[in-house]
Amino acid sequence: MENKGRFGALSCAARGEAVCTSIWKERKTLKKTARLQELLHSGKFFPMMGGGCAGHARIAELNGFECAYMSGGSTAVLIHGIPDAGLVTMNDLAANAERMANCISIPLVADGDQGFGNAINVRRTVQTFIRAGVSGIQIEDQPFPKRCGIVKGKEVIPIEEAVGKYRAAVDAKNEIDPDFVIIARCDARGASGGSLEDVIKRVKAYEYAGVDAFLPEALASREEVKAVCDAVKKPVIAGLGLLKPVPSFDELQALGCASAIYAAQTTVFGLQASWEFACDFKLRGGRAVADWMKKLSDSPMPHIFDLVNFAQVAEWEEKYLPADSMKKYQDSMGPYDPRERGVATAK
Amino acid sequence: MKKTTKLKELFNREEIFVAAGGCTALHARMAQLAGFECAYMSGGGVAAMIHGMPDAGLITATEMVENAERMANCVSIPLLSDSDTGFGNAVNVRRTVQAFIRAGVAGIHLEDQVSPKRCGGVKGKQVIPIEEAVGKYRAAVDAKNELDPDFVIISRTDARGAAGGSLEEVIKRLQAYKAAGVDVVYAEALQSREEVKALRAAVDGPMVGTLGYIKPQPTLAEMQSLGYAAAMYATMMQFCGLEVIWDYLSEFKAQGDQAVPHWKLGKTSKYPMPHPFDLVDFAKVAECEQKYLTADALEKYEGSIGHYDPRTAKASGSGDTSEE
Repeated sequence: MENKGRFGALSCAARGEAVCTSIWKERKTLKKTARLQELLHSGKFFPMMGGGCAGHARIAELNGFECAYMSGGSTAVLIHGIPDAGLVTMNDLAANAERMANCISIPLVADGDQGFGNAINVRRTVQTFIRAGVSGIQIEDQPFPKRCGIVKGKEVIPIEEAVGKYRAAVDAKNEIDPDFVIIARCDARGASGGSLEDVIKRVKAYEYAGVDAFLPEALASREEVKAVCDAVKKPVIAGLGLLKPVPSFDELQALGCASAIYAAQTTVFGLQASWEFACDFKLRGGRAVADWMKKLSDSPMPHIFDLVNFAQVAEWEEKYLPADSMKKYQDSMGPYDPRERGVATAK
Repeated sequence: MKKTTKLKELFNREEIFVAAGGCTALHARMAQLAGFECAYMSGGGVAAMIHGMPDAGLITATEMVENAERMANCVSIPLLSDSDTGFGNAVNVRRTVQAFIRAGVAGIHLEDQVSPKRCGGVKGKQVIPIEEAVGKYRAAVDAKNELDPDFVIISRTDARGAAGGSLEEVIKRLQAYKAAGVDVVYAEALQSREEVKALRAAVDGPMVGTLGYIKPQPTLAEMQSLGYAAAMYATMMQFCGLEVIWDYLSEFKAQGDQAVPHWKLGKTSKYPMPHPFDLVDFAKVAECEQKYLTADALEKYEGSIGHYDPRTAKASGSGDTSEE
């Protein structure tokens, strides 16, 4: 179908980047977990585009990113309005991940905090995330309750205990989908009493336990990132919290990283815009609304209904509903007509 | 083998199979442990037992899928699930079907009632126009083919018992639904053996049913000879369970705590039930602890008190989720 919408979702296809798909349609060429494995071993750096809700995942895909990421911190803040301090449950994270994973055709990596208990809980957590349609999970070696990687007061569990948890995670995924990616996140650098040496000792042990990739959290310099990349054979995913200035993709590739997680940016910048609008609206009322609407209509962002492919509903109505039920379009009013919007399809 | 493939195979074999009905994860486990080949989730059971509500279209798609997910994933046999009317029009049906597939369910039955629906055994049913129903089944079939073509779509028609319904209407509808691509047909509330025979002669392919209206109710062997691929005993587990609970409560109220020892006599039953912790494989936790926890973490067993020791418990069969 030709895209007739002013900001139709195909505007990103015009930039040659779109791999968008209809809401509930899956890309069938390759399993998403297998695709994530392929990306991690491609030898080409790719960013994991973070977010905290299904709309963020859609935005990541429509802008041509190859992998989306669900931040546990963003889920805590955006979906639950509570701090990222181990308060969100396994089910809360899995439910959010399920929505994010299944509205896109690119793989989703999800934050699995510390796996929500001991090795036995980790088994259930991993299998729940696999069933949710997630392609990879990050599990950290913090005790329960955990806290955000950049918040003081972190601790790590003994290495033997962590190894047991990763072995359980690997066994659990191998039972259901060996392509699912287990990412061992090591918080030993920033934890109480932590050091680079401890991080290296741990990632080597986790590699031996069979994990698929590593996320060394809170490394203090580019040299430390390189040292970790040199210490292991499996892919390293960078956490960027403390690296100043923020490294470029080329630089990260040169350091040996397969990927990096840009966990919170989408959430934070979106909240910033909401905050600014709320302040302006409080001060100026309707005039602020008019100005922000103008800003929106000047923006190249697709219409919000196009972002989630409302056109697909009209297409399905046409296909499955009796002809006379389509009469509802004739004399009903609304500035948005889903029949005239482009349906974005998988490339 | 994938559970959807298993269910499809069951429907296509000669011998009739039983869809053992229940509405909680433990019901599904018990069905598996008792040797049934297919578990069934009853929407009426979910409404009554999980929500304490009548089966009158009050339960949402999310609530049904969530319950089905727990039931499906604690067993290695396939779970067949009630999906009411699909929770809306053809567009909603697409989403409903895919949500059930992702939940790990192997097949659903989808009925042609007006929404909000009601239980097949309750008066006051209505059906939607046949054209609208066909569109919903086409949407269901397309939706499953995108994710898993082996997933079983059963079209259930309520046209026999609905206001103004008839056997002719049932036959016309199931023929049309079959042409729309559904895998299995299901006529609710058939009134006699003759009606079953007339339907069987007019519609091809696997057929599932309950036959609760026909007296005396046909045996499994008779259902097989009538041409059924499967018999659904939709409410078997929740009704028996509820009756026992009711008896127990009544006796407790009448006799006070003197009733408690009497009820423990269940252990002398002809069919001794495994310990409830064995039903859900507590032994597997001990096994995983042994395998993944550090040696000193296991010291917790020494000097702690408890009647039940999962390390010496009997594993009660496959509770894991791996597909063979």
